[in-house]
Amino acid sequence: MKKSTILVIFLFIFVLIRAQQFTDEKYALTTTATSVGAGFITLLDPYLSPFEYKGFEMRIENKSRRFFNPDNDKLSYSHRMYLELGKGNHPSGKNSMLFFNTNYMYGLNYHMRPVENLMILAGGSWDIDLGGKYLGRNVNNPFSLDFFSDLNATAEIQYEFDLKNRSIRIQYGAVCPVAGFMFVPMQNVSYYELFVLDNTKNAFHFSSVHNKRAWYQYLNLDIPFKSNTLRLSLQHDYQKYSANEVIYRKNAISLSVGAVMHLYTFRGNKDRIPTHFIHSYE
Amino acid sequence: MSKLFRYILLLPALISVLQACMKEPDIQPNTNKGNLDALWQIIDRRYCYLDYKNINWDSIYTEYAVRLDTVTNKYGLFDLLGEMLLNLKDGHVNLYSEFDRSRYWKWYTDYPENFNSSLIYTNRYLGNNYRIAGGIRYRKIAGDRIGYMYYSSFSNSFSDANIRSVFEVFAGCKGLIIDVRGNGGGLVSNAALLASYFFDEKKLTSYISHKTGNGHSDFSEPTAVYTEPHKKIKWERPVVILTNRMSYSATNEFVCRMKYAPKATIAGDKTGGGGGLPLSSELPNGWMVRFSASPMYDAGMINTEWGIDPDVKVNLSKQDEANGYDTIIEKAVSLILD
Repeated sequence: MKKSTILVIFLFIFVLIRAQQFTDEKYALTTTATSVGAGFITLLDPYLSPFEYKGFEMRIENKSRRFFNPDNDKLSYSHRMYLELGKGNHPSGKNSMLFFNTNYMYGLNYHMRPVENLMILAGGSWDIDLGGKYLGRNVNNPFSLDFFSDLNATAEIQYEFDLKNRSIRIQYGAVCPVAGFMFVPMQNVSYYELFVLDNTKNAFHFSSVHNKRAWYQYLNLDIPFKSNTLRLSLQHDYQKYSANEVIYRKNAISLSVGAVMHLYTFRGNKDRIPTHFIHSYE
Repeated sequence: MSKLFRYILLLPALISVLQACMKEPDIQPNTNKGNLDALWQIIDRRYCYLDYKNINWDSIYTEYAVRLDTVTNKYGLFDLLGEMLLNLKDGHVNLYSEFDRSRYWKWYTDYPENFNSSLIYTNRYLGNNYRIAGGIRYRKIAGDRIGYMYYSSFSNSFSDANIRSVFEVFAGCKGLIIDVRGNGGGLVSNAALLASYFFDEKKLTSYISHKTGNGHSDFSEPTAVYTEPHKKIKWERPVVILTNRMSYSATNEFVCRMKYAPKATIAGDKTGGGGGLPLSSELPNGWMVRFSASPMYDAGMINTEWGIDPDVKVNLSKQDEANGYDTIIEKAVSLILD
């Protein structure tokens, strides 16, 4: 028998033995959902144009949630990341604007279970957003930067019900910024003056409900299949903010499809695989 | 618990009420009058030279609104709006449609050209065997005693390696000529970079400001613009910058900076100006308007919109032109050698 074959068999036996080294400790699984979607978007960016651009967008998003402590099913943390790409058209149909946006959010959630099958999550999050719009025909100012960071109030309601022998979960959630900062330059300042000459006076603003009203809402339907859980998601992302006497607006509605998984995270080779798991849906 | 639940449900409704407080400005309709009104308003609120040029923009509206009745198609409307913009006397103001671009060119067509491009390609100057580094054409002239660079557009980029190569070729020369005649501008960052090779210390060379409100004189505090010496590459011998009325926009800014370079002389004609950094906006029918939004000034806070005077005024002589001489280059050569 060749040496390499012996080595492969040895490794296989080693892995089998390792796999049987269980521990009685409880383990918090990471519930993660990755979805891809498309929808409609309207954009108003007076730095580029006084007109509302309407078009479509594509969106890829990943959300994950995990209990801090597997023995405490009340406090969890979550991550959310998304990337949006879109294109909008001038009302006349003669010009188009390209758009991209990236966002990362970290949140803390308190889980309440007032009645059976119903779970309410309330908490807060911090997010940071970076994006831009490109209107190629604007010779000297074709690009507008979007940049903000917020502390948000978050809430989510989950309800689980049975339908045709499937345990279906419906979720509605909302994220509303409460306070943060945003980049909104004066309408007549050039990016040359802002970024080459470093004159960012009046470009960064404190934001709160007095000058920024926004929400991100979602309605998810998780449908389990044999080995996967399918997620159908309807999302509404609305932002309207004002600074330097200029009002910006974004309104996007998208429908996404994705998969939900409860993941076990391996850490090195010293951990023993636990026999008891808890995921954030429990 | 039920209270909290109620508050959560009320949150989106509360935000909806708050939305109504942030009222967006009205947008003009896509009609002839709507487009004229939109264009007039953009210029009225955002164009930076209405007061500086003593333009009565209100009376111009009255004059052109009356003429709307004569407009029968999109070409007529374009011509009318384009003509309205000519009153601004600004090369940075254009109206762009799918079939035409309005423009104001009198900043150079009303003046002597002072440049004959065929002259610089004679064997006395660039000839046929010149080298090209980035957007720069160069060759030694005047018996290899002078380096000559022709830079036709600040939109054509160049690198430090390009400039290093040019300076290496000109290493034995007594001086350098940078010809930016006919250079209508481009990237302001290229103007700053090219100027940096000729400074030995950081110097205040200009100012820029921008509109802060709808009033014709609502401007920000001017931001100081410094020219810093390049960290690795430096030309320490005399340099002469050749200008004419077609030296415009970013070229104007380059000349403005070079006015303060220690061994630089500006020779030729006054530059064309174009001191306002342009921005763009749109009309209801999709046409785009470009306009000067941020006025620039020299280090003495003199507005550069109407151009920059040379240190040595020289015109291209018809006699010299006929004999194959470029009077302005010849003057620059004598400034360096004498």
